[in-house]
Amino acid sequence: MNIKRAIRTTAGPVALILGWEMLSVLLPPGWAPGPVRTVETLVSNATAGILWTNLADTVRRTWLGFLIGFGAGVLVGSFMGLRRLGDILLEYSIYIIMTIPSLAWIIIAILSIGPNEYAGIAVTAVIIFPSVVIAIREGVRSLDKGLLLMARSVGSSTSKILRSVVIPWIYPYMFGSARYAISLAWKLTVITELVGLPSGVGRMLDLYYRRLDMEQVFAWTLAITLLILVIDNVILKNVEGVAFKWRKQAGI
Amino acid sequence: MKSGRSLTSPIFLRLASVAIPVTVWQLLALLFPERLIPGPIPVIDTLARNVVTGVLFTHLLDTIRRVLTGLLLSLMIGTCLGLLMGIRKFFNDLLDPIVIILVSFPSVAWAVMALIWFGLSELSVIFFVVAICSPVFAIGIREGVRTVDSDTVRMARSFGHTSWGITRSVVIPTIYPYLLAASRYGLGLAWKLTIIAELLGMQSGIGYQLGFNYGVLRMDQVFAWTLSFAIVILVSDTLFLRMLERHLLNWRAEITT
Repeated sequence: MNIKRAIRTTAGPVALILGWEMLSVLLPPGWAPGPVRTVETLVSNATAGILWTNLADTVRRTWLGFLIGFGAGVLVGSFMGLRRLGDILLEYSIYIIMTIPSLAWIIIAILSIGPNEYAGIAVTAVIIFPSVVIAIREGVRSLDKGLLLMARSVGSSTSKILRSVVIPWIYPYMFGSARYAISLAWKLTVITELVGLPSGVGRMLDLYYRRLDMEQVFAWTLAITLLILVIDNVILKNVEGVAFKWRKQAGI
Repeated sequence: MKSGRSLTSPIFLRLASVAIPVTVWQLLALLFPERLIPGPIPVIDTLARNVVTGVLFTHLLDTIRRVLTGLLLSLMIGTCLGLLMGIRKFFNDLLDPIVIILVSFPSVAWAVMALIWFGLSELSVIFFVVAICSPVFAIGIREGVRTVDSDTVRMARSFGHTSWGITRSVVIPTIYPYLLAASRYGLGLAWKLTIIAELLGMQSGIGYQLGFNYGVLRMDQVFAWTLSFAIVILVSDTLFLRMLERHLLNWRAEITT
């Protein structure tokens, strides 16, 4: 039974690669380079070193932007969840940040900050910020009020309550929103690079799009997709496993 | 206020909530030269001029047409895939990895490929929107199908319903709210995707205007088009939410009568 299932789950990616190969054969040449050509191009980029420098730029921008936006989002979200005043005051600001299209943020950031590192990081941070705020606010709101009262009545300080009641409670909300935010952050960084940064995967996609070089477009797409898949599914899952170890120990 | 200890009325706070972003914008505009960040008044002025000359509506209509076409197509494809994956475990095992890969595929790469394949045509934009929105719909619908009560399905089967009959009278009503929620999310996504495609390779639409004015460094126009876009999104989302609420209430009303 399990073997059957494993076969079926691997059948998907295998079918995808086969379909890709078939497309590349059926379509007019230059439309869709096949898997072998793409991997070859990818490898030659890797040996030339241009793959690593650009990937590193993209990874750095994504993670810095993510960390800043996420940190700010957790702080503001907790504030809005705990204090009704903060919630009412900031609600529209959050909604407006969300409504402004990401492309407009990108253009505004590049024009006012300049085509540099800071613009890329700022865009990513600003755009993921509202989604984190909303998730954390919901988490804090769902907090058991009785637990808070109890902690207060046994004389815990506010910082102690935050540390040992509020933060563990919103852990799952934090991870949920972090997963969403990081997947968004990748895409945003690539778009920002494409619109106006001097390096990174997005820059390369734009460069080869202008030259109509489909092999390179495919190679860079493959590189970033693999990277995202690995980081999201392997690394984040492991971090989550470590962070939730206490749950298993507590028998939850 | 709930606690009743605050002296300020909620209406005042609501107004303050609206005033905060506008004030921040005005302050930023004062700090930076107008070339970089224009304030609310020049931007509204530019926006008004776009309305008077009619530029706003021609480009807006082009964008709306592309969004709706892409959205409808992805809704159809995504729903079919989602139903298949939710109902038959076989298809889920087969398609799940593909959907995961498609979801982590960077959207810009789709845009670039579509533009190279189909050229600078409407087809590129629509292909781009469909390629990204369909997996999102598929995932949403599958989640909906999974909440279908298996006892109800078994009961329907034991009363001799065909698979198609069960799909129509048990599965589809259950997934309706999921479909609506996915549509709302998809609508927001389709807007953003369409303007990215327009920026990269179209000769009309809001995205084209954003890209064009970015190229000629007209910041007041960038802000004006952003503002128009934000207003359209707000309106479409509010309308959609109304529709959603009304539908859910209707459904409830039917139950009670």
